[in-house]
Amino acid sequence: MLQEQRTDDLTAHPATVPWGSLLEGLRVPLPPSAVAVMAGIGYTPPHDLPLARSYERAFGFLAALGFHCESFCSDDPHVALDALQRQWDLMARRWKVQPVFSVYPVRVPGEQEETLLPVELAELDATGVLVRSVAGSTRVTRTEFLAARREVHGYAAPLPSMRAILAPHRMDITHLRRSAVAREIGRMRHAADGITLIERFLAGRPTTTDVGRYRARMRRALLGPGGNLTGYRDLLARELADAGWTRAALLLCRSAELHGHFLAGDDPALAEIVRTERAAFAEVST
Amino acid sequence: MTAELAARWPQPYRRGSHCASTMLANAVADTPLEMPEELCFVVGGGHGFLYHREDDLHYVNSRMHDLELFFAQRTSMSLDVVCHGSLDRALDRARGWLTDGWLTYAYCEAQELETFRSVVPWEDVHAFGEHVLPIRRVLADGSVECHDYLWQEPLTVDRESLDRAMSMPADGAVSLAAPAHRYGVGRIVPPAEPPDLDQVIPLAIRHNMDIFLQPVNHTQGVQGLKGFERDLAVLPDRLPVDAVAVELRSLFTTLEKIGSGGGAGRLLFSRGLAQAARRLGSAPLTDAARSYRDLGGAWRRLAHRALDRSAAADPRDDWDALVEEVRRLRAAETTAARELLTAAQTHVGTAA
Repeated sequence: MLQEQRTDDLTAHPATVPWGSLLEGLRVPLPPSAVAVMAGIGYTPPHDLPLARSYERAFGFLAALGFHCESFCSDDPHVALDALQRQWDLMARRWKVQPVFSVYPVRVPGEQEETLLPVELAELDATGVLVRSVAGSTRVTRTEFLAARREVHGYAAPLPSMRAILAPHRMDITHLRRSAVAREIGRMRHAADGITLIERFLAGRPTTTDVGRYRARMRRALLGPGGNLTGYRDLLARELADAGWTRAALLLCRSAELHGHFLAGDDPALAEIVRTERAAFAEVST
Repeated sequence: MTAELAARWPQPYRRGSHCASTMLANAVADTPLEMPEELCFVVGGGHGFLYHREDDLHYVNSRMHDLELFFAQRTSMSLDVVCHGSLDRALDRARGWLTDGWLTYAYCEAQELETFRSVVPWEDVHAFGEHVLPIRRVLADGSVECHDYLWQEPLTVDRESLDRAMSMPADGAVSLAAPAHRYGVGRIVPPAEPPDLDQVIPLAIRHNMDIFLQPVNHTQGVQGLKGFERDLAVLPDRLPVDAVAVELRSLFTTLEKIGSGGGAGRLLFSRGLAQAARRLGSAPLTDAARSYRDLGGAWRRLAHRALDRSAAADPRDDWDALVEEVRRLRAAETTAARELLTAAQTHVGTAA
């Protein structure tokens, strides 16, 4: 079940894309499965969560790497762009500019409407900024950037650690991956945007239509080009197995299968996913 | 078991030594995550050191990071923080969140609040980080009823003071600091299910010591201490006498007066470690708590000597003694952090 060859197909998860250039540029030897787990592949919420929460997740990703994160989030796009420009200049003065994380409306192939996705912002200058997402790269002008419809506007800028800059090969990747997967499981288990989201959804006795709508939402939120949802659960399973939590890994593999069933139209599989993942959490001390 | 928080800040508000850890202790009061301020300080990674020199300004802080953000990460909480283009928009958001029953707070600069005018000699301190102000109620005239860590009873901050404080007028005073949270408002979202604090606490300590011993850059942790010691050694050669006195007074105020409970935050941290040691039944953590209590005393003595020097006819006299004191402190800090890292590791067990 833990098929190594599937990993490459999954690096295009919307949540992992914004971190690709950063990690590649620093030569941090982190496998894609670990990046996916650290970037927070947890749960698709049945309803929209506050967008500010995305920047908190970015903070968590960078903290898990031993980096620092300077994030900013405003209701005013002009304020956010001014702050981004300051942060950009600051990064250049401190060391060098790194791509920053943001959330931006992107047109995903096959979708009618734009979808808010995690993106990487790079090459900010007087004319505009490069926006890179699972759907590809596009350069937008400052005017377009300011006009993009979002509940809040912001960024999360990384401050890489000296170790990552000077000697990335000396980073303790095994420890880092183990810590990260335990933290992610802890978050999926305990946080308000964890498994409770699905449990509450099911407790509300959703109609077949509600469940169908949720299925479509799950597809839309997680299925970027080249990716597949069951595979993402497999990634989590692989990280758990590598960290020594074999029983939890097997349960997550089962959950991956159940995700496949659910996406194929099997409504009761959703409740079974919850039970299976709860059982997996109990196997991991966080 | 859920970890639901109260819909309003408790009254009387539990007083404390540091704004953010006091706010967090009040937020989790009477919930399954209940812990005293000192333990919140530990879980939030309150131990640190930051030193940054910019021209003639020597900026020292006894912490390294935003405590509330790390606390939230480690306890599976969420903090939704949004800045705004104006005070009115910030107040609208605060009003909405309060109406919906969220514990809400504002980011501001403490020196702009009337309540703090007489508490800290602001003219003797370089601009520093942000202050959190838990909000109880937004009043019709744009003033707010709020709490602060030194007072049990709610305070009212008028609109004009609040506007000034939330506009972050010192933003940019330290050119290498990130943009401040202008008109920033936050709300605390509790975890759906409380994590096991017996696992959270050692993990938090271990992470805190990791980033102190292997800091993100030269301004923080042991590297920051090294830079501070190095620059302190040549400070009298670089600055005129009156400027040296200013730097010494600022050092005293940041180590002893501002949001650290004194002793560069080590006394507060030590009490938190002692609470963690009792909770976990840990002799090594008890020993670590003693070490940090001693370090707190040493930082306190250093701060007072700096203040005494600042009033001397020539504060540069016998300067080497001051530098030697910092050198000893740096060595003791490094040893204590390594020992604490080992102590925390023994409690992490099978957790990551």
